[in-house]
Amino acid sequence: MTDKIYDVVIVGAGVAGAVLAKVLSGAGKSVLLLEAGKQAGIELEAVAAYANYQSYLNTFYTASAKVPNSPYPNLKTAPSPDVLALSNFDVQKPVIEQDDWPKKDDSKLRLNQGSYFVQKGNLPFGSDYARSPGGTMLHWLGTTLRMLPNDFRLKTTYGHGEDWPISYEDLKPYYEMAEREIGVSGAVDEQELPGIDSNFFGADYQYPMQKIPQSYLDGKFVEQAKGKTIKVNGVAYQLNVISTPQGRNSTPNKNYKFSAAQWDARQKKLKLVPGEESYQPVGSIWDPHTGQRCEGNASCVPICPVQAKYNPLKTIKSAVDKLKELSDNTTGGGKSSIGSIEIIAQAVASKIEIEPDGRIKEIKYKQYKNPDGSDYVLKTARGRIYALAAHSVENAKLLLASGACKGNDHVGRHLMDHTCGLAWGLMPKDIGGYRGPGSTSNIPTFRDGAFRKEHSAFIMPIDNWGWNWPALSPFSDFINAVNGQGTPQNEQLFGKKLRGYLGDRLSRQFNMHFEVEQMPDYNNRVTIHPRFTDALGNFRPVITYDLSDYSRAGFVAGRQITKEIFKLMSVEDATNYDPGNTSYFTYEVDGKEEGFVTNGAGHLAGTHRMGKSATDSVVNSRQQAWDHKNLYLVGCGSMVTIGTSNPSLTMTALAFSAAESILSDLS
Amino acid sequence: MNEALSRKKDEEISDYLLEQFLNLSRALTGFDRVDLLGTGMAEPYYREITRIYKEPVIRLLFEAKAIFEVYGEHHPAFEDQIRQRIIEDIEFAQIAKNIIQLWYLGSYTNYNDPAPLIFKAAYIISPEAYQNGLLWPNMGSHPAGAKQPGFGSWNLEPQTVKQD
Ligand SMILES: Cc1cc2nc3c(=O)[nH]c(=O)nc-3n(C[C@H](O)[C@H](O)[C@H](O)COP(=O)(O)OP(=O)(O)OC[C@H]3O[C@@H](n4cnc5c(N)ncnc54)[C@H](O)[C@@H]3O)c2cc1C
Ligand code: SF4
Repeated sequence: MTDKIYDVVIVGAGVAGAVLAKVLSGAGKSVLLLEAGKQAGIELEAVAAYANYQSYLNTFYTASAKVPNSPYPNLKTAPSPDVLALSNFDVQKPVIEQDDWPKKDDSKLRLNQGSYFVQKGNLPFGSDYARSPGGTMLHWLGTTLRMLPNDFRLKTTYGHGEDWPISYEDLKPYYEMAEREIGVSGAVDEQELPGIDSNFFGADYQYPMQKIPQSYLDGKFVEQAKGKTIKVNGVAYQLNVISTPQGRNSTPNKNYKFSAAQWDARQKKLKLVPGEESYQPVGSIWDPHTGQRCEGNASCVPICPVQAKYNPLKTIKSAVDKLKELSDNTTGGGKSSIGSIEIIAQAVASKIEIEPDGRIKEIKYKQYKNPDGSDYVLKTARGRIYALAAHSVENAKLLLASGACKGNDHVGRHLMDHTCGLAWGLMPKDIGGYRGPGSTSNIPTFRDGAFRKEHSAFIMPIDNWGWNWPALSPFSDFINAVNGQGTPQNEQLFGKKLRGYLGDRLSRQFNMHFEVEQMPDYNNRVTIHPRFTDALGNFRPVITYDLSDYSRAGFVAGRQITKEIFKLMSVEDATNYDPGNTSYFTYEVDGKEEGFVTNGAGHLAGTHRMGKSATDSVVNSRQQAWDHKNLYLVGCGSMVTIGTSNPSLTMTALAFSAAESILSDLS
Repeated sequence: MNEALSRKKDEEISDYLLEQFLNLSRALTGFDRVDLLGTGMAEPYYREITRIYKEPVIRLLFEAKAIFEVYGEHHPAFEDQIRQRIIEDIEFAQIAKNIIQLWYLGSYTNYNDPAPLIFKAAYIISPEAYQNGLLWPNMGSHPAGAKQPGFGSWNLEPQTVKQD
């Protein structure tokens, strides 16, 4: 045990933890960052950082299934969920029998082989996250959408879900900070979103960088679909198609005027102050000149080889560099007012110790040497304030393991994700897929509107990587072609015919998807059970998951629209929802049961939601635990609803706001 | 025989077989010699395929050689011969498909694995093999995560490599 008492102890070096560490240390505070992942992953010095990242990249190159977690080590000591384990989920056959658990009501429990999650819902939970330094954003796509004003007052406006204790307007300044930190490329004037007014961005607001060029196939899509009218449930909608703001580097915007967020100690506020110099894209952590622009590697999920895409290691590195620069330029007593960041990796927070008065006393963490072993040393970290930023599922697990936040039973509940429907087909001509970032445009038309009284809203991104997501293309096309499956006359193709067939087919593949909002359902939850632990004896998440009728109805509407769009664009529809898929579900459409397949989006949220009262939420609007004054819960877990935005920009904005609250508590 | 001499002999044999391997690969993949050699992967692929399948590979090469010699690759029956005697041959089919797969994707599929075709155990033999897959340029793209074409390239009309 170290005797040092830090100003703030943060658990988790993902984006939430990184932003907290940067803001707090920048305001002169001493910060301890505990990180479960490997030491190699947090090396910030150029040679070591490069070597580690290249090892991720080489693992990715040789991975036969290039799923989101494929480049990153899956540690016995801090396991990560694996989407490949989903195929072992079998509703008919519970894997655990003749055991003390499940009891009768847990009869759906499934222990999927190779899976970190224990699943016991009607549907398997299909998303993952990464427990490596930098967190899940190592393999995020990079889409950075703000939530819409009505998303924050869903209950009042449409009678579904829940209202947030804060409004869009409250969060707006922090959105700007998040866009600065992540480095968003986008065109403000193209963001024609439903349900917003001219104050949504505010006068003259610009993103730090110009928009990422839209793909060639987006162009084809705009030509044929934009402005067209389609009917859904009897209502006519005019389709809009806009560029998507993204956290990847592009050409700096000359009109962007802000420098980093700064703490104003007198007003107790974080502020984005006008910068003297123009915005500079932040390159890779090993070389600032690498990754200055997105280079079109087309592998953002799972790894951007040049780090043109934002990842939280950039935030940590910039914070550490800044502190060093300050320290180098300060002499004598002045140094004591400079903040600090100490990072301890291979340190898995395992329990929060609570004083009788509800304050957090310390955090116990298990530090391991061998990531494949089960040995560890139990250590203690102490601070004036504690912030859990270990990801929504891990935060909930840690709270449950510690008996924290027991004022109600909401910890781990209201687990949300976007349920994603895919629709794919062949375009009449070469659309040049498999190039550029995963998605560069979207249809925002169904993100808000009166239909939200009836069914969920959804965003419809247009994808750039062929049938990679729905059909494991191009691998599956290849294997089917040489084995004569689905080819004309089932011919086993080789030679020039094979080349011609694959060249034509792959270059016409088109996929789009709809990310449907899920409501905060009380029964969708993360919990723990002593029977299920990992190598260090920490709990594994036990997940109960299902889709409500409201989301299913949104899903069905999304699918209906893609059918209409495919007709408009003469796309030969190849969408096929396989009843054998473990994520298959049915819903009644026009009096008939129809089947669909849902996919996880990786947007795990809601497990320690914020609220107006201690009875129906875990944290208050400052993201401070109702039951523990010196504990902050930061991350998507604090979100009340998820709207139709990928959650990380909103969560990063919330992290800035939490940092502000922590600083005002400390002062 | 001293060691140096025996090694020399092995190398000579390899060169010869490698040439047969390239000929067969041309017929199987539809790519020409320059495309194949341009990947820099001929030797590693040859080594990998013989490591996995051993002697039958040599028999396959001689079968291909016979087809080349009797028919010549511009003969109207050439393709059918390759199909009947290699692609549809019980012993050679797997080897041939894997030779194609190595060139196209840098990976190998174990057809003896009982899993459904698409989930069969496949592995990519090296990072270089993945990066030099010919399937990607054939559709006017590049391997995901490598050989990046540069900022904004995805906005331009695709430049599909046209077959001759
Ligand atoms: C495939 C995929 C694509 C995505 N694309 C997008 C997108 O385009 N846009 C978007 O907005 N969002 C996207 N997301 C979601 C996004 O990645 C997450 O919302 C975000 O990374 C969450 O950040 P976090 O800091 O809360 O948690 P994480 O990023 O998961 O970081 C948590 C950190 O805590 C560490 N940790 C965990 N447990 C412990 C412990 N017990 N002790 C110590 N440390 C611990 C972990 O190792 C990790 O470093 C995507 C997700 C996935 C899976
Ligand atoms: S397209 Fe390539 S360079 Fe651009 S962000 Fe994605 S992986 Fe990085």
